[in-house]
Amino acid sequence: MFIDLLIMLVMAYGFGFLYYGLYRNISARVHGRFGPSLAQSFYDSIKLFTKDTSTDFGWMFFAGPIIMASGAILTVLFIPYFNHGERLVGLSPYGNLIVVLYFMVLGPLGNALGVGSHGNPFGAMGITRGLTRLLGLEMPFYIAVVGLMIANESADIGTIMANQAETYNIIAHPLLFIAAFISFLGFLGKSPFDVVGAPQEVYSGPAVEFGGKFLALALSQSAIFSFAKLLLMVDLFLGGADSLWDLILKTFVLFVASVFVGNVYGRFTTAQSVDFLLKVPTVIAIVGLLFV
Amino acid sequence: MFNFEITALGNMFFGLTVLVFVSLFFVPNKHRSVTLYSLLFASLACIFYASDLITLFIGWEIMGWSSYFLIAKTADKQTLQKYIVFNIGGAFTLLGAIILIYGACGSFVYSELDFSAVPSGQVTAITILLLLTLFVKSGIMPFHYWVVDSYSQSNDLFSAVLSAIISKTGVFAFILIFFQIITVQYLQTPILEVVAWLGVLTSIIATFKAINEDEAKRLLAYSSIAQVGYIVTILSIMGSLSLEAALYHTVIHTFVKLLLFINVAAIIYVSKQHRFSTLGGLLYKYPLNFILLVVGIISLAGMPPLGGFSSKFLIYTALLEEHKGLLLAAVLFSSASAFLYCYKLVYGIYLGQPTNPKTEAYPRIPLRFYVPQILGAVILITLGTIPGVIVPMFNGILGSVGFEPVLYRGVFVLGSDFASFNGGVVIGAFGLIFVLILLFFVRLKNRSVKPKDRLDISYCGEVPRADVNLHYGYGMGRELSRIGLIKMILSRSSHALWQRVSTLFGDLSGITQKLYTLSAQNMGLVIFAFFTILLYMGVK
Amino acid sequence: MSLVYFIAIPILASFLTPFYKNYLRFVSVLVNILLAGFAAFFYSRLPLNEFISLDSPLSIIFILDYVSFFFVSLFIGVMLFFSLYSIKEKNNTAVFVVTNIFTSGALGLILSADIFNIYIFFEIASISAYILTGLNRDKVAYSGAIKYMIVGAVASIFLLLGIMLMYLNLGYLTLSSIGAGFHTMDKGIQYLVLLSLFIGFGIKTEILPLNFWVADIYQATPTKIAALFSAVLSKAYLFVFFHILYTLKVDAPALLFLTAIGLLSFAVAELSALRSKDVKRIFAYSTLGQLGVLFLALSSANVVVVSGALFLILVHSISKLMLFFSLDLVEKKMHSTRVEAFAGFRSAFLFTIFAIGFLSLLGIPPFAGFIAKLTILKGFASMGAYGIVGAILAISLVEATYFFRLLSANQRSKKTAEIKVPLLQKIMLSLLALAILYLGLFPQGLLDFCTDAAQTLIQGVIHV
Repeated sequence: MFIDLLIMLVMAYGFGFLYYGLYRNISARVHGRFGPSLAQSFYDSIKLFTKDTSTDFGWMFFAGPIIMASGAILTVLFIPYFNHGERLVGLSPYGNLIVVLYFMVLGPLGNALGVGSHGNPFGAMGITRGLTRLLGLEMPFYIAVVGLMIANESADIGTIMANQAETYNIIAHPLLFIAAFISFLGFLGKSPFDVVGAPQEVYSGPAVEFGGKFLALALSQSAIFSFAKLLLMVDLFLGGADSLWDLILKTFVLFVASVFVGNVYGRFTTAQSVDFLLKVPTVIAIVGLLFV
Repeated sequence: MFNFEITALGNMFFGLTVLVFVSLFFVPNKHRSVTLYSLLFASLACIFYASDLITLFIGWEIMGWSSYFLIAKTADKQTLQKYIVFNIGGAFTLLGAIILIYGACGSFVYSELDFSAVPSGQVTAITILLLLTLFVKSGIMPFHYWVVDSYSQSNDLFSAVLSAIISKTGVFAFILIFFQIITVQYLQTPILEVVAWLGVLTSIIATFKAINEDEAKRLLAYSSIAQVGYIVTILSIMGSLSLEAALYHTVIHTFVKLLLFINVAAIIYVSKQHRFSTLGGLLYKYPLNFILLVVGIISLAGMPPLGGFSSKFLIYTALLEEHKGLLLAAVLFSSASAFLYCYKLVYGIYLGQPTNPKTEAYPRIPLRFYVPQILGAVILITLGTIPGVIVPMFNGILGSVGFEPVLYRGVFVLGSDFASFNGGVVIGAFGLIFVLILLFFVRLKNRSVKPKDRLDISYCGEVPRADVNLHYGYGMGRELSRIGLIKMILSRSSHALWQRVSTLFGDLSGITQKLYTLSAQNMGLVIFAFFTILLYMGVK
Repeated sequence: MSLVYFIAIPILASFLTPFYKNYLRFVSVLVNILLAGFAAFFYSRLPLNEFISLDSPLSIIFILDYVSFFFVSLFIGVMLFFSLYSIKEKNNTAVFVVTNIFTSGALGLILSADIFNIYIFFEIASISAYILTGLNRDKVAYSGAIKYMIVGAVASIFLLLGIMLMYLNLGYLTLSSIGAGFHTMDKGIQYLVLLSLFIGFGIKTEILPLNFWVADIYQATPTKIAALFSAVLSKAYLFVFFHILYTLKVDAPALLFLTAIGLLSFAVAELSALRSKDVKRIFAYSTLGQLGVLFLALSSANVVVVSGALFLILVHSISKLMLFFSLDLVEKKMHSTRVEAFAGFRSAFLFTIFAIGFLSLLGIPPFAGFIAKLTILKGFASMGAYGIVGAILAISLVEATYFFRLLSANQRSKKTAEIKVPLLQKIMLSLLALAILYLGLFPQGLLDFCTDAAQTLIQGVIHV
């Protein structure tokens, strides 16, 4: 059991950073550059873990990222990796889809508390943006998930996977998938919904005061969290994986799809993105829900 | 005239009342009026343990006016007027419904009421009248007009009572009347549908209003409206699981609001500030209060691993089981938006930079403020860890109103066949991971430095000027008003509607008042004219 | 023992004033105690008739049945309370002289069972009321009294017309014989009689549209006297009107018309109070509203409703007595009855009294007004008249609005004066408040009596 949990965590960490490296590479190629090597993300992470943050804003400042990381790790532990239900199911028998959905917002809350406790208004601004965007993101995703739960008469991820032995949900409920996928792009922090992180051009956003090991923690949790989300999408719409290769293949396909979409579109402002998310994918999801 | 009966349902609500009142007894309060509080307490007992409708009504009215006098100590005239018009109006619709029931069934006693022979039109009329009463008490739109002002303007202690207990009397009456007395089979399904949507729309609108609010107590008031909105929605599903969910959420919301209102009250007590734009940065000044508030908002937002999640989980499961997908989507939308106001509450008061330079001079929070807060926090944490522990109690209530009990799976597990979760594992795993990371970090800490002053932050490569406001409390929620849909919600208000009603009556009053100033001659004319008209009518 | 004492003693007490000019206030109290003693004496002998002289048409008949006993004791109770309450007013002999005449007029009105005497006592009561209105001896009071007199004279004319018509057509004056013979008359004459009676009593019972004079009169009258008008006088007329009506066995459409008029009266009066700027006027409007309710309830010909109405009459009398007397104290201190003045006084005791009075008038438990309202509504529900139930409740909401406006005005305003209520007044007012609370909690005994009284009223006067 504990070994399983450890394996799940390590896999999530490994794949998370691997995919992050790939994302940087693919983006670079799209922009006509050569990206960093795949191992660069790992180096960054390990290096940052050995550094300290320069300024100490008190205990809440430290507790925030830890809550955030706990949320990400919990999420990944409650999602089964394989659909045969023997190994790497983690804690999923003790929880269900609704629990997982709520774990996914635990991270942002911890982040918000941590960021809020340093005195930088840009951080708070980023958090507000993030929570506002979250509002838009959750809507289509939740409706899609609700549709699946109603269709399967269960909120158990294992049951939903098992019911896809014949047809994947991506084929049975295409509209729900589309809606969920659009939200999923945002959840991964990919464009066009990435204004919150404000990666380069504005010196602001949630991470503004974090440095050293807290930045590393933030990066690692983000990698783990990304993998958890990929996993969730695979479990819900692609029937889960029955072997390691299957798992890699399915998450990779989904990942690449998200990267390409992300690289083609420009960036929405927060208000635009929520507006868009509340209109297009939400309506798609509602239509999909009506079909269920 | 007074007939009482001890019921499981009454016990639960009365138990909540006792806990709230006893814990509030410790809180320092300038406007303590023992007579009125005991009257209020007695009236609540009267409502919860009544065994006939008249006793219920008497309790309801006494509750209404004793609250009025309690609010009147601090609120302004307009608020009082709103309070009284809505609450007396609500009580009168209740009386109307009671009279209708009496006309239909010939009795006031719960156990003697039988609706099998009553025409459905009459049942519908009764239902609508009762719903109006409950809507007013629970603040369902558009009858919430009185709620926010009354909650925010009454003294801090009484706000907690209003939100924690009095808003629940509507819930109690709903369960009592629609589950136990009238029962599902005689109710019209379309009405229940409307109720469900009204509840959830209320919660969505109230949530956005809360996000846009600058005053802490008003934010909490809107949040209270939103939370009771969920309860009403889930009650209108009228099933075993939904009743359980409603009861669960009632318990949770009572303690959450008790905790939060007293938390804010403590801050107002020491700082004399009640706006987010003038608060902020109190985290390290009042760490215990901060932690309690975080417990409160995590529960309010319904996040695991605390009690709030348990009730939200049941609400979702109940809706899923009934395949109310759209309704659930709406509930989720409001529930997700609630994060924003929860964050605003904690950020506006505790986080960021203090906007008020006098923060240093604020006194300590008296220990007595912590009694209700700790009570609430303990219960919320307990219900997060062992969410199944109160299921047997709910099953007793379900049985007493004639519903199938929900399967009890031990103290750690909550849920139904559709979905269940283990609160012990969730909170255990979270705690373990948190502690592990913490240990890992504590070892490596210690090399970072404290900031020199509040301006020592990363600020676009500059040092901010001393007069720059570094607290974002005022701006939170601004983003929202740029979003089309939400802007639409925020710009609407029932104020204009009720104002128009008020003006209409005022104008009418002006006209009729003129009649009463007739001179003696004109009076004589009126008399003879009236006589002639009647004579003419009689001849015809 | 004779019923004549009810009328003779107070009027005698007034006429003998010169002998004890300075002690009239004590004599008044004694007279009222004596009357109360009589009432208690007669209670076990109900119902009873008394013939003073037998040869028609000038026979004098008094009837004391359950319902007239109810009104007699109410009236005596109120007058006793009034005289006790004002026992310290040494220089106010005039009031006592007139109120004693007023008492005998009103008691005679209630007890008489023949229409000629009804007319006589109607006039006695009315004239003493005009004088009472003018007691303040200033411009407002005189103009009010004159207005009252003009309108009252019109009422008398119509009443006389009705009586004349009946006598000319039937040759009787006793109520019971008229009741037996009424339906033998020509339909048109029947209508004209009823119409005249309605107009005559309608003016006196302050019913729409015959009540536009009332608010001004109340404002002109000294506040304590206004309490008497509101609490008892109008109700005596109300009782007599319905006593005659039920004796005449009028048909359903006529009663329905009265119900509608009552409802309309209620609505318009309460609406007028909504924006009124003067507390005394507000109380006047409220009285008009309650009279509308009573009119509507009494015309229902349903025992439960009528018993509720009788209960309401008692409760309303107590409440209005309490409110006007308290307002009198406020007026003395603030020299005005405007809402602003009302908002400015500080006295926890008076505030509580006002609050209890308002809550009771609104029919809010646990006060007695609730029982009255509940009984009336229950009765209407058993008749299936849900429309009326709804209307009453809706209009009561308007009533609630302005009463609570007054309360919050007082609670939320800057206080300019502190009122110290004298001990006597404090005790008397507390007694009234306790009575309201007691009747609200333990109404059963009185309700049973009201039911008997209601049955008697609906039966009408039958046997000779």
